[in-house]
Amino acid sequence: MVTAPRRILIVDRDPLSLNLLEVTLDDRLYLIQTATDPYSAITLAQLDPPNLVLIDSSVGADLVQRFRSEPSRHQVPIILLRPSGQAPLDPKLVQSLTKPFSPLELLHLVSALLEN
Amino acid sequence: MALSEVSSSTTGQSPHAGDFEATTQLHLLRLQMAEAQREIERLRARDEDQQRSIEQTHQQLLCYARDLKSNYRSGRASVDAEQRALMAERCVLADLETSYVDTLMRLVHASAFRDLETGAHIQRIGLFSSLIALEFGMSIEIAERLLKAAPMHDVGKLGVPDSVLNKPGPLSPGEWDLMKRHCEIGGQLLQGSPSQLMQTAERIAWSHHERYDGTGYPRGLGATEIPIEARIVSISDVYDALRSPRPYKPAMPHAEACQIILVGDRRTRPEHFDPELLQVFRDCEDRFASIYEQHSDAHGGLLHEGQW
Repeated sequence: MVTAPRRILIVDRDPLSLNLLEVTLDDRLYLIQTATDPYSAITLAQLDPPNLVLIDSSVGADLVQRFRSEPSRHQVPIILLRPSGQAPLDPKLVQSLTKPFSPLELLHLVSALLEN
Repeated sequence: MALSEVSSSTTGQSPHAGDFEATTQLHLLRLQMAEAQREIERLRARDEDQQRSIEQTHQQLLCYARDLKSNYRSGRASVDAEQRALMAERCVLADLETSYVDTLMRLVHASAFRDLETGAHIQRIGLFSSLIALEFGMSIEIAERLLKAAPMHDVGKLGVPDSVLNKPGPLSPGEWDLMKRHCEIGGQLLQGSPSQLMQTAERIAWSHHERYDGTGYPRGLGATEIPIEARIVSISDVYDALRSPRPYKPAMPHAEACQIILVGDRRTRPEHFDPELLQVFRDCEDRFASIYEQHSDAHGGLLHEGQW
């Protein structure tokens, strides 16, 4: 049974950090798109709706709200990477991992969220 | 300052004009210093940012290293556990097979008690046959199977009456028919098993007296109608019979036995055998001689050092 590749959108201000996340998640079953600012992120999401969004807090946590406000993107799972000092967001809205994150944990979370 | 005063200051003549020059220079220097300090501050701040960034990246790298290590270890652990389980299973299976073959061979020897066949002969047939199979290019698996199956070729003699089996003189046609039935009886004793070993033994029991030219018994099969294992055991059986003493003839030396098989005499003809297998025999006949010597009836027996 062949499943369609899962689309993952990664948003991070720092291009090096973005590259690290891309390499970590790279898999022949995933189609990865990247953005370094919220506007490109929203545009990409409108053109090709992702199955999962991974946001680094450097981009600004309000991107999460903007994603959730659009009804068609309401259901898409979002993972937020935030510094340990920052308060967690509502888990109903977004799953978060503190930085530095465990890559294994990230991989588990990604495949768990994409399974549903 | 009056214009005259300014012009005269260029020549450095008036002290007031000179002061202005110095003041301007000083002012410029102060501005430059302030700018330099701001630049130093900016660089220091950038350096601090980069240090912080390097530190964060290092912390992230440590997370990758820890995860990699734990993943590698658990991977190794599960592979180890799996390998240990496999080895344990293999040991149990090997044990089981040894006991099975051991029991089988004891039964075969029980069936051979009544006539002249010795324990060493039963063993030799297995050794000769597996040697031919290997030299013929068959797999080790098949050679091993022959080693265990060939010894069973005469179990059918259980169904042949004593008077016939151990008659010192030549057999009457009726007695000869009873004797020939040992092939069919052996086949029936070994039939219907799911085991490849038993199926091989069944084929050998039925057809080890068939001849390549179709003049054999019990069914008169010819050439490739005869299962390959039976064609192999044929050669082994004839060689062993020629080398061993019988009531109607003495034991023959190796060279004479080879001659009879390859060239023939009144009773035995090369056409009785598979020509390819005859070639194999020709190529390894010296190994037949050493096997016969090492497993002679003198120091053979029910078990040769408990080994098969």
